[in-house]
Amino acid sequence: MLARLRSMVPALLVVLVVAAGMWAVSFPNEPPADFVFINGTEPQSLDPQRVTGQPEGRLVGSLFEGLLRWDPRTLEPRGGLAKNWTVSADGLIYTFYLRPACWSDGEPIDAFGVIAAWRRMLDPATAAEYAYQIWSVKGAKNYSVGLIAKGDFVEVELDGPPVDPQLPFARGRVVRGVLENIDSLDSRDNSSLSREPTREGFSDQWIYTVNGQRYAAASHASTRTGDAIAARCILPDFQTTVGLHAQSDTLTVELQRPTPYFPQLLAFYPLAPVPMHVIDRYGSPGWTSQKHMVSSGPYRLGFRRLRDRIRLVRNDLYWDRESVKIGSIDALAIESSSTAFALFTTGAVDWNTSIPPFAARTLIKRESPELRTSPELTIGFYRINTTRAPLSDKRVRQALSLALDRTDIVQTVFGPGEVPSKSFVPSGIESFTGYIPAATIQENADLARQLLAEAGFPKGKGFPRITLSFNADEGHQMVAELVQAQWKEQLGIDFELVSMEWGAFLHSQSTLDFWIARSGWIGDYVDPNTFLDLFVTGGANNQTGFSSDSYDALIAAAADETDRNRRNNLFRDAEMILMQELPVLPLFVRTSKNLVAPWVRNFHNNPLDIHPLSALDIDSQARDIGRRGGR
Amino acid sequence: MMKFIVRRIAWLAIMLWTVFTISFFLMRAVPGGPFSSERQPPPEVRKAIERRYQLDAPLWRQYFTEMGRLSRGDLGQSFRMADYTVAEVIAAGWPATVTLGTMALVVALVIGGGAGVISAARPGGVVDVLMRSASMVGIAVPSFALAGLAVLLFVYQWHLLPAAGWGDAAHTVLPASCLGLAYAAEISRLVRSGLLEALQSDWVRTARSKGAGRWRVVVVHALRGALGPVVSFLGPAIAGILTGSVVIEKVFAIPGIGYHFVEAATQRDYTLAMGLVLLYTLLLGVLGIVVDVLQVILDPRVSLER
Repeated sequence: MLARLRSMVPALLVVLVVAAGMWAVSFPNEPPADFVFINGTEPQSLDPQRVTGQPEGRLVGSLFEGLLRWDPRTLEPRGGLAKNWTVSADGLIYTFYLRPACWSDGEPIDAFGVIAAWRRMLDPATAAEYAYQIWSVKGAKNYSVGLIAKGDFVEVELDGPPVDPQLPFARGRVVRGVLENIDSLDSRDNSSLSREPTREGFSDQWIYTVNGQRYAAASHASTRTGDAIAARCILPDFQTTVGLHAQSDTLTVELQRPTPYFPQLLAFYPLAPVPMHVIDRYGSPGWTSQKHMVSSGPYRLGFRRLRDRIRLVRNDLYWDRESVKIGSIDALAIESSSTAFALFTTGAVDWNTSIPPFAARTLIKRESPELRTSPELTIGFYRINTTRAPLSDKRVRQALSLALDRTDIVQTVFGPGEVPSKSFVPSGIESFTGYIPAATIQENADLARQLLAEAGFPKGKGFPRITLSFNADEGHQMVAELVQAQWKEQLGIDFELVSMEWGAFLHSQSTLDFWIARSGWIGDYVDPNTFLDLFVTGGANNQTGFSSDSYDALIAAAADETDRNRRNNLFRDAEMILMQELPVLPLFVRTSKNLVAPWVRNFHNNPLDIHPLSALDIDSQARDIGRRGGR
Repeated sequence: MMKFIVRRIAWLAIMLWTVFTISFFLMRAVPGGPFSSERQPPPEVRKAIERRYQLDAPLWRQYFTEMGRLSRGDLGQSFRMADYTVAEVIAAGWPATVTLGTMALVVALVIGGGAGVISAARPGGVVDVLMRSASMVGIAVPSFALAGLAVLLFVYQWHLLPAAGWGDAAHTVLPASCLGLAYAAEISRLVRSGLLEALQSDWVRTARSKGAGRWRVVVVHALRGALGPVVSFLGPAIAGILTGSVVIEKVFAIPGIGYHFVEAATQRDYTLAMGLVLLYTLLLGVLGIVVDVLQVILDPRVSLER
């Protein structure tokens, strides 16, 4: 038998190779969508409550309608699901009047649905990274963090199947009542608790008594919990402690403190309501699949192919369907900017969101009409670890800032037209908020040398050899090399450059294990607060060790201030402190760069680099000629 | 033969467990985690996320939980592409990778085999020297350089082929050629040296003495004997091709699984990285067994028993 097989091998090989080759070139034919754009990396998810990035935002923002939406030209919040809204005089109570609208499966959207969706976002089990975006609502933070104490009115989510068998993924049955007692799980030391479990999240270490009934974490062994009922979670009672109230088409939101940018947050994609009737039936992430997803926005999901494309199709049940011009859209998941550039130049793509640095410099010089640039509310800066000597000395930090030539840096790395920073808050914010950033950054090498000498390092003598770290990237490397050269030339200080892998780089920042590190910050909304509250003492994004009581007090005062001018002044005083102390070295305001084909209409530049797909339009005749011929 | 296969499978299982253990602890020893980002959420939110993914549990418990899950054949949910399970990620990327890999193999076998035969027909001749130099260049030039050159010529210069993407046969031409040429270079050298050795052998001399023509001797008689090293090479080569090419998939924007390999590691997508590492181990192991069995079928001198 073996011999017969042996003689057949060459013939078999030929057949196999031919068959494989034929199979490989048989493709299903799929015509491209009306509009194709480069969306960058594959989105983390299509669940608005579980994503944070820009590629995700472009899709989620088209699939889901928020209570409000941004005007693409002015970034002013306009009516979305809410047709209008009112604010109380003290800025604390917002009332939204919803318009008649429905999901793409015909299910109506009412105020109760909005609240249910936000409850899901706040539920710690959802683990929504952007949950803190609605912490300005009264009681929202406590619910989200799950703080409960004896005497609180709480809700207990029981373990076990939900009440409605049609909705297998809904929450378990919820029991509400007063939390009477918290006991140690271990009966042996029932009397003397080593640690009083107050103001703490639900934990499997304790037994909770609510309305006379004992509850314990479902994950725990039943033998030790005795008669206690298994519970999934115990949270502050949502209905009575969180400031959200519904009345069919009216939604009342009670805030913890006046938050002037609250309407902007409502236009931000993570706060768009999600379809609870679908999520409860198919679970998460099951509901985001092509088969089950329903949407409320201008587009619905056509299909999604992992790391290839996501097809969006116009939603015929969208309330404002008349204004949606483009019928179908392909969002390509392409990470390589040179590949994206090649696709755009050959006419396969109508909008390219990522441009390789070398091409950007050339395009800027040539003043290409397809390149759309706009200063962004994004700052590129260096963080300084203020906990380490000699960087803990303010004079050293000031010297480092004074010795820089920011214009030279941006011109060399990014080309003409880019903006060196004079403040931490990007200057583009003024026309939207009236806030004038504290543009106190100066460049003066003589003064820098003088300050450095006062700090004990004349001409850089005796200055320890410390590092300037950045995540591996061509652009970051170029900036760092220029900075290194400028400091060496002006101050006589020699920094060591460290290029780091992304994960390790982030880790070094969050553990304050660095000297000076590159960083950037994109404004979440158009308000100085999104930049300045980073540096309050202990803030998760502070990462410099900077701490100033007067700074913290100013930011806190601004949060309670309703008058726009007084509030801006408080922020300005805070930024002045920041620019005096310099725990960060602002370098440049980033410029958004989009390549837009000439047949695309209604593409508006704005400082958040947000371009709602539903606002765009195309001249299809011009496109067909352009796509065929390439450019 | 059965005994041999069973023993090899047992070894493969041990290998999988070892790879799992090493990868598990290596991944967690590297700083950063799947939810590191430049934009830190408040610590309370971070805690909720870590609890949801059980990253707050002690390491040994995570190890046993993950081992239990994997031994049931469940590769888990991807951390970074949260809407997909690891199995779905692999299933979604597999067709593109296999298609591309198959075409690359066809390119490699046809070009490499052909070049090898032509070289061996007149060793030391002008054609042989040219072919050998070309194959040396093919081995030495990295695929990103080759891909860049190909895009420059065929896309920008001559407008013959699409720049990137996936969807029809035209999209596969450049990536499959770029991927296949490196393998073709290796194969041509293996075929050439195998053929030259076979041409010295007794059975070829017998065939010649019986009056077989030169090409018949080379293609029918000697080539079969020369295939041994090529088959040995094809085992790991196919495993490599089936797990995708990082560079080619990135440059040509092909939705295969190769690019996930690197992305999963840099993004600390623990589950996806683990799934792909185990998949690669499994493929290498299985193809190793297949190659050994094929050797027996091809070459009567090889035996699997000790």
